[in-house]
Amino acid sequence: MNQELLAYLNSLLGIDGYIIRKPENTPYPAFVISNSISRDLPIYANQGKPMGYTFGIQINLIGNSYKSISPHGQTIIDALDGFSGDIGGVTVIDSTMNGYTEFQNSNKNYELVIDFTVRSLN
Amino acid sequence: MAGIGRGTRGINTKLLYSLTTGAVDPSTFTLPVGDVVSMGDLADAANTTEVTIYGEGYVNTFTTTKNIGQLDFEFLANTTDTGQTALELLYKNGDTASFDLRYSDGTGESDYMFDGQVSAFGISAAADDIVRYTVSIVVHGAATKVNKT
Repeated sequence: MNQELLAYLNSLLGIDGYIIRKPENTPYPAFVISNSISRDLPIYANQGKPMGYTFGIQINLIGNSYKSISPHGQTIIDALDGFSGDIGGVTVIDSTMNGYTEFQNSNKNYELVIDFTVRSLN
Repeated sequence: MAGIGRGTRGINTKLLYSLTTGAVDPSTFTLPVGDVVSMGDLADAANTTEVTIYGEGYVNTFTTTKNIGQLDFEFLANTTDTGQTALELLYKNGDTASFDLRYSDGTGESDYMFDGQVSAFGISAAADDIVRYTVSIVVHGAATKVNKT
Protein backbone atom coordinates (compact mmCIF):
# COMPACT_ATOMS: atom_id res chain seq x y z
CA MET A 1 0.00 0.00 0.00
CA ASN A 2 2.88 2.41 0.76
CA GLN A 3 4.34 2.29 -2.75
CA GLU A 4 0.95 2.53 -4.42
CA LEU A 5 -0.13 5.46 -2.24
CA LEU A 6 3.22 7.20 -2.77
CA ALA A 7 2.78 7.04 -6.55
CA TYR A 8 -0.83 8.17 -6.25
CA LEU A 9 -0.01 11.20 -4.07
CA ASN A 10 3.04 12.08 -6.18
CA SER A 11 0.79 12.34 -9.18
CA LEU A 12 -1.99 14.11 -7.27
CA LEU A 13 0.14 16.77 -5.55
CA GLY A 14 3.10 17.09 -7.90
CA ILE A 15 5.58 17.21 -5.01
CA ASP A 16 8.15 14.68 -3.76
CA GLY A 17 7.11 12.03 -1.31
CA TYR A 18 8.88 9.49 0.84
CA ILE A 19 8.09 6.46 2.93
CA ILE A 20 8.67 6.49 6.70
CA ARG A 21 11.41 9.17 6.63
CA LYS A 22 12.60 11.89 4.34
CA PRO A 23 16.26 12.28 3.37
CA GLU A 24 18.35 15.24 4.57
CA ASN A 25 18.10 18.42 2.52
CA THR A 26 14.86 17.41 0.86
CA PRO A 27 13.35 20.25 -1.14
CA TYR A 28 10.13 21.49 0.46
CA PRO A 29 7.22 21.07 0.35
CA ALA A 30 7.36 17.32 0.63
CA PHE A 31 5.29 14.57 2.17
CA VAL A 32 6.09 11.42 4.10
CA ILE A 33 3.75 8.48 4.45
CA SER A 34 3.83 5.67 6.96
CA ASN A 35 1.30 3.04 7.82
CA SER A 36 0.34 0.22 10.06
CA ILE A 37 -1.45 -2.84 8.74
CA SER A 38 -3.93 -5.05 10.50
CA ARG A 39 -6.15 -7.87 9.41
CA ASP A 40 -9.73 -7.11 8.59
CA LEU A 41 -12.67 -9.37 9.47
CA PRO A 42 -11.89 -13.07 9.91
CA ILE A 43 -13.86 -15.25 7.51
CA TYR A 44 -14.72 -18.87 8.18
CA ALA A 45 -13.28 -21.57 5.91
CA ASN A 46 -11.16 -19.11 3.95
CA GLN A 47 -7.81 -20.82 4.51
CA GLY A 48 -7.19 -18.54 7.48
CA LYS A 49 -7.30 -15.42 5.35
CA PRO A 50 -9.31 -12.36 6.40
CA MET A 51 -11.62 -10.38 4.16
CA GLY A 52 -8.85 -7.84 3.53
CA TYR A 53 -6.62 -5.47 5.44
CA THR A 54 -7.04 -2.30 7.45
CA PHE A 55 -4.34 0.31 7.03
CA GLY A 56 -3.72 3.11 9.48
CA ILE A 57 -2.08 5.66 7.21
CA GLN A 58 -0.30 8.78 8.34
CA ILE A 59 0.64 11.48 5.85
CA ASN A 60 3.01 14.21 7.01
CA LEU A 61 3.25 17.32 4.87
CA ILE A 62 6.34 19.43 5.57
CA GLY A 63 7.08 22.88 4.21
CA ASN A 64 8.84 26.20 4.80
CA SER A 65 5.57 28.07 4.98
CA TYR A 66 2.03 27.32 5.95
CA LYS A 67 0.77 28.41 2.55
CA SER A 68 3.04 25.95 0.77
CA ILE A 69 1.47 22.92 2.44
CA SER A 70 -2.06 23.86 3.47
CA PRO A 71 -3.56 23.54 -0.05
CA HIS A 72 -1.87 20.13 -0.43
CA GLY A 73 -3.48 19.03 2.82
CA GLN A 74 -6.87 20.04 1.51
CA THR A 75 -6.21 18.25 -1.80
CA ILE A 76 -5.35 15.03 0.06
CA ILE A 77 -8.49 15.23 2.19
CA ASP A 78 -10.67 15.98 -0.81
CA ALA A 79 -9.21 13.00 -2.66
CA LEU A 80 -8.93 10.38 0.06
CA ASP A 81 -11.68 11.07 2.60
CA GLY A 82 -14.57 8.88 1.48
CA PHE A 83 -12.55 7.39 -1.37
CA SER A 84 -13.30 3.94 -2.67
CA GLY A 85 -11.79 2.45 -5.77
CA ASP A 86 -8.40 1.44 -7.10
CA ILE A 87 -5.04 2.82 -5.97
CA GLY A 88 -2.30 1.24 -8.05
CA GLY A 89 -3.93 -2.20 -8.02
CA VAL A 90 -5.06 -2.10 -4.39
CA THR A 91 -8.85 -2.26 -4.14
CA VAL A 92 -9.86 0.26 -1.52
CA ILE A 93 -13.27 -0.44 -0.01
CA ASP A 94 -13.42 2.71 2.03
CA SER A 95 -11.18 5.43 3.34
CA THR A 96 -11.97 7.78 6.19
CA MET A 97 -9.99 10.62 7.72
CA ASN A 98 -9.55 10.23 11.45
CA GLY A 99 -7.88 13.53 12.22
CA TYR A 100 -5.71 16.40 11.17
CA THR A 101 -2.98 18.15 13.15
CA GLU A 102 -0.81 21.13 12.28
CA PHE A 103 2.26 22.22 14.20
CA GLN A 104 5.83 23.50 14.03
CA ASN A 105 8.27 20.63 14.00
CA SER A 106 11.65 20.47 15.74
CA ASN A 107 13.43 21.86 12.66
CA LYS A 108 11.23 24.98 12.73
CA ASN A 109 9.33 23.82 9.66
CA TYR A 110 5.59 23.77 9.20
CA GLU A 111 4.05 20.34 9.35
CA LEU A 112 0.59 18.93 8.80
CA VAL A 113 -0.27 15.41 9.84
CA ILE A 114 -3.34 13.69 8.42
CA ASP A 115 -4.48 10.28 9.61
CA PHE A 116 -6.63 7.95 7.58
CA THR A 117 -8.10 4.51 8.06
CA VAL A 118 -8.16 2.67 4.75
CA ARG A 119 -9.72 -0.74 4.23
CA SER A 120 -8.68 -2.81 1.28
CA LEU A 121 -9.74 -6.07 -0.28
CA ASN A 122 -6.18 -7.11 -1.12
CA MET B 1 -7.79 -39.70 9.26
CA ALA B 2 -10.39 -39.32 11.89
CA GLY B 3 -12.69 -36.85 13.49
CA ILE B 4 -11.44 -33.54 14.79
CA GLY B 5 -8.86 -33.64 17.51
CA ARG B 6 -7.31 -31.47 20.14
CA GLY B 7 -6.80 -27.83 19.19
CA THR B 8 -9.25 -27.68 16.29
CA ARG B 9 -9.72 -24.07 15.24
CA GLY B 10 -13.24 -22.76 14.76
CA ILE B 11 -12.23 -20.55 11.84
CA ASN B 12 -11.91 -23.60 9.57
CA THR B 13 -15.57 -24.54 10.05
CA LYS B 14 -17.65 -24.73 6.89
CA LEU B 15 -21.37 -24.35 6.40
CA LEU B 16 -22.51 -26.59 3.57
CA TYR B 17 -25.97 -27.29 2.26
CA SER B 18 -27.80 -29.78 0.08
CA LEU B 19 -31.18 -29.17 -1.47
CA THR B 20 -32.00 -32.84 -0.87
CA THR B 21 -33.48 -33.44 2.56
CA GLY B 22 -32.38 -36.25 4.81
CA ALA B 23 -28.75 -36.17 3.64
CA VAL B 24 -26.53 -37.80 6.28
CA ASP B 25 -23.47 -38.67 4.18
CA PRO B 26 -20.77 -35.98 4.31
CA SER B 27 -19.79 -36.67 0.70
CA THR B 28 -23.20 -35.45 -0.48
CA PHE B 29 -22.46 -31.98 0.86
CA THR B 30 -20.46 -30.18 -1.78
CA LEU B 31 -22.07 -26.75 -1.80
CA PRO B 32 -20.54 -24.24 0.66
CA VAL B 33 -21.94 -20.93 1.81
CA GLY B 34 -19.26 -18.27 1.41
CA ASP B 35 -18.05 -15.28 3.44
CA VAL B 36 -19.37 -16.50 6.78
CA VAL B 37 -18.27 -14.15 9.57
CA SER B 38 -20.38 -15.43 12.43
CA MET B 39 -21.49 -18.98 13.03
CA GLY B 40 -24.09 -19.95 15.61
CA ASP B 41 -23.60 -22.68 18.16
CA LEU B 42 -25.06 -26.10 17.54
CA ALA B 43 -26.62 -26.11 20.99
CA ASP B 44 -28.29 -29.46 21.52
CA ALA B 45 -30.06 -29.29 24.84
CA ALA B 46 -32.64 -31.38 26.63
CA ASN B 47 -35.66 -30.14 28.50
CA THR B 48 -35.98 -31.47 32.00
CA THR B 49 -38.74 -32.46 34.30
CA GLU B 50 -38.69 -32.69 38.07
CA VAL B 51 -40.18 -35.63 39.85
CA THR B 52 -40.77 -35.67 43.55
CA ILE B 53 -41.37 -38.91 45.34
CA TYR B 54 -43.12 -38.92 48.64
CA GLY B 55 -40.70 -39.69 51.41
CA GLU B 56 -37.57 -38.69 49.45
CA GLY B 57 -35.79 -35.56 50.58
CA TYR B 58 -34.54 -34.56 47.13
CA VAL B 59 -36.06 -33.66 43.77
CA ASN B 60 -35.28 -36.05 40.88
CA THR B 61 -34.55 -34.22 37.63
CA PHE B 62 -34.90 -36.17 34.39
CA THR B 63 -34.19 -35.17 30.82
CA THR B 64 -37.11 -35.24 28.42
CA THR B 65 -37.27 -33.97 24.84
CA LYS B 66 -34.14 -32.61 23.19
CA ASN B 67 -34.04 -29.55 21.01
CA ILE B 68 -31.33 -28.02 18.85
CA GLY B 69 -33.56 -25.08 18.06
CA GLN B 70 -32.05 -22.39 15.92
CA LEU B 71 -28.63 -21.48 14.56
CA ASP B 72 -27.82 -17.88 13.66
CA PHE B 73 -25.31 -16.91 10.99
CA GLU B 74 -23.88 -13.74 9.53
CA PHE B 75 -22.40 -13.41 6.05
CA LEU B 76 -20.72 -10.57 4.24
CA ALA B 77 -23.55 -9.75 1.85
CA ASN B 78 -22.52 -11.00 -1.56
CA THR B 79 -25.14 -11.50 -4.26
CA THR B 80 -22.64 -13.43 -6.39
CA ASP B 81 -22.23 -16.14 -3.74
CA THR B 82 -24.27 -19.17 -4.80
CA GLY B 83 -24.69 -20.45 -1.24
CA GLN B 84 -26.03 -17.17 0.12
CA THR B 85 -28.42 -16.88 -2.81
CA ALA B 86 -29.61 -20.44 -2.19
CA LEU B 87 -30.36 -19.64 1.46
CA GLU B 88 -32.32 -16.57 0.41
CA LEU B 89 -34.37 -18.70 -1.98
CA LEU B 90 -34.92 -21.37 0.70
CA TYR B 91 -36.30 -18.67 2.98
CA LYS B 92 -38.52 -17.26 0.26
CA ASN B 93 -39.99 -20.65 -0.66
CA GLY B 94 -40.10 -22.04 2.88
CA ASP B 95 -38.37 -25.20 1.66
CA THR B 96 -36.58 -27.69 3.86
CA ALA B 97 -32.96 -28.51 3.03
CA SER B 98 -30.05 -30.39 4.58
CA PHE B 99 -27.22 -28.53 6.23
CA ASP B 100 -23.79 -29.60 7.34
CA LEU B 101 -21.41 -27.97 9.77
CA ARG B 102 -17.99 -29.35 8.90
CA TYR B 103 -15.33 -28.88 11.54
CA SER B 104 -11.78 -29.65 10.44
CA ASP B 105 -8.31 -29.57 11.96
CA GLY B 106 -6.16 -30.24 8.92
CA THR B 107 -6.51 -33.98 8.47
CA GLY B 108 -9.37 -34.68 10.86
CA GLU B 109 -12.91 -33.83 9.97
CA SER B 110 -16.26 -34.11 11.74
CA ASP B 111 -19.59 -33.39 10.10
CA TYR B 112 -22.79 -32.49 11.91
CA MET B 113 -25.69 -32.82 9.50
CA PHE B 114 -29.32 -31.88 9.99
CA ASP B 115 -32.45 -30.92 8.12
CA GLY B 116 -33.77 -27.45 8.62
CA GLN B 117 -35.48 -24.40 7.24
CA VAL B 118 -34.26 -20.84 6.88
CA SER B 119 -36.46 -18.96 9.34
CA ALA B 120 -34.98 -15.48 8.90
CA PHE B 121 -33.06 -13.68 6.21
CA GLY B 122 -32.17 -10.09 7.04
CA ILE B 123 -29.72 -7.46 5.90
CA SER B 124 -27.87 -5.12 8.23
CA ALA B 125 -25.93 -2.02 7.32
CA ALA B 126 -24.32 -0.30 10.29
CA ALA B 127 -22.64 2.97 9.30
CA ASP B 128 -19.19 1.83 10.39
CA ASP B 129 -19.44 -1.78 9.30
CA ILE B 130 -19.79 -4.02 6.30
CA VAL B 131 -23.23 -4.87 4.96
CA ARG B 132 -24.17 -8.32 6.21
CA TYR B 133 -26.88 -10.88 5.76
CA THR B 134 -28.22 -12.26 9.01
CA VAL B 135 -29.68 -15.71 8.60
CA SER B 136 -31.34 -18.10 11.04
CA ILE B 137 -31.82 -21.78 10.43
CA VAL B 138 -34.28 -23.81 12.51
CA VAL B 139 -33.40 -27.46 12.94
CA HIS B 140 -35.74 -30.38 12.45
CA GLY B 141 -34.99 -33.13 14.92
CA ALA B 142 -31.52 -34.36 15.72
CA ALA B 143 -28.16 -33.77 14.07
CA THR B 144 -26.20 -36.70 12.68
CA LYS B 145 -22.52 -36.73 13.50
CA VAL B 146 -20.02 -38.46 11.23
CA ASN B 147 -16.28 -38.56 11.83
CA LYS B 148 -14.06 -38.92 8.79
CA THR B 149 -12.61 -42.37 8.41
